Amino acid sequence: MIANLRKTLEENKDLGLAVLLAALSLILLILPLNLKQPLAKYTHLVTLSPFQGAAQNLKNLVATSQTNKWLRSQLEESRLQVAFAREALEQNKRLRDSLDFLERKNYVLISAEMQTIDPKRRDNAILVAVRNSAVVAVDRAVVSLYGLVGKTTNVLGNTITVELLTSPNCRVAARDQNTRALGIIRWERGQNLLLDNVPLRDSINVGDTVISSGLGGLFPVGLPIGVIEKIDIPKRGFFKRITVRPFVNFNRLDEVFILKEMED
Amino acid sequence: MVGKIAGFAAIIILAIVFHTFFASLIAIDKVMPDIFIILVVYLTLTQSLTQGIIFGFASGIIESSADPALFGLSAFLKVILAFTVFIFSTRLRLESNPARLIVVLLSVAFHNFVYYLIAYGINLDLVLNVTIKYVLLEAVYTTAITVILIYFSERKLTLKFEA
Repeated sequence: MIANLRKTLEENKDLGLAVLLAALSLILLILPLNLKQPLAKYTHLVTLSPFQGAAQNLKNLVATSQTNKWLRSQLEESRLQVAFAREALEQNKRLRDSLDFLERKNYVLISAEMQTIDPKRRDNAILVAVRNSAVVAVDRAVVSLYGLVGKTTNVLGNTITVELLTSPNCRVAARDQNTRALGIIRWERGQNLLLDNVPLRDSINVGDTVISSGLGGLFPVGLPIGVIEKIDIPKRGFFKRITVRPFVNFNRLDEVFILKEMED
Repeated sequence: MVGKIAGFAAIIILAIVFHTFFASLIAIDKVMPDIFIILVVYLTLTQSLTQGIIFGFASGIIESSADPALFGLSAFLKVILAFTVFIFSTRLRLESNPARLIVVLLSVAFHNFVYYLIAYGINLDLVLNVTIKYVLLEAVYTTAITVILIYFSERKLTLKFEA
């Protein structure tokens, strides 16, 4: 029988090859996973992996190119906005001069790098490092690219403790940028803030931006804080209950800037 | 012989390039054409059964290397496929383009159906869901791509002839 089979296979080499390769595939298929895993891994590494890597790099390149294009357009837009802002600043200065207003303070930004969260006050404070701690003092406003972060509370060498807006001790005099209604920003729960002390009669809208009013004396005027997410009118009491979603993600802080008054 | 092996390797590399670079680009809701099966059928019908079987085995091994649990399954199915296509081609006239397209359609449907049946076990719900999307639609899409490939290959031949 084997001789017959051999004869048949010799006569028809294609059939023999098909049987051989099918049998080999089946053996590979029924092999235990721990045996065929290295085989599959090596095959993948030699054959598909280089091409998939190249394809991924190509995709990344295209994505980077698109991001670059978008960033360039954003940069152009920002440049234009900066030009308009400069113009408005000059105009504002001229008008303030003509009205004999007090001159506003100017600030410099001292960059600081996030080191760690304060181990004692996990969600409330972070430790940041500055190059030159001599220029930093306590009770300075700290901002990120997105908005107000908190205030400095302790300076120890080059390490500064920053109390975040999510701390129960941190309160900011704030106002609705649109309606100009005044209030006080304080931590509510989780990552949200509460715009407190806004009288029931004051007009305020969901989606409005909340900025620092500068009335507290510690935080300069105009620092963006967050956006109004929810307004509740309590049955009792005199104030509205306004939930604010902060612009800053306090769990993803990298670089922050400490504001220092510019000396004349 | 060396030239033949080089040509064969080039076809495999081209197929991998198509599979990794272009198939995902032209995918419609994750349904992508199966260039490996097109080539298995093409090589079996136009070159020889040996080439079809070897290409089926090699491409199956490469394709299923991404999933170690099913390593060898695709190679087994493609070898069977090449052999079945060859058997049919000796009994039926498969020289015409419509006949070849039907072979591609049935081949993809058969390959994917058996593949998913083994991969997912006898889970009827899952098999039915997968059958519609990855068996029927992928078979139709692969056939549509084959139509384009045939059109271009015949056009190239016509241009060569006219020149």
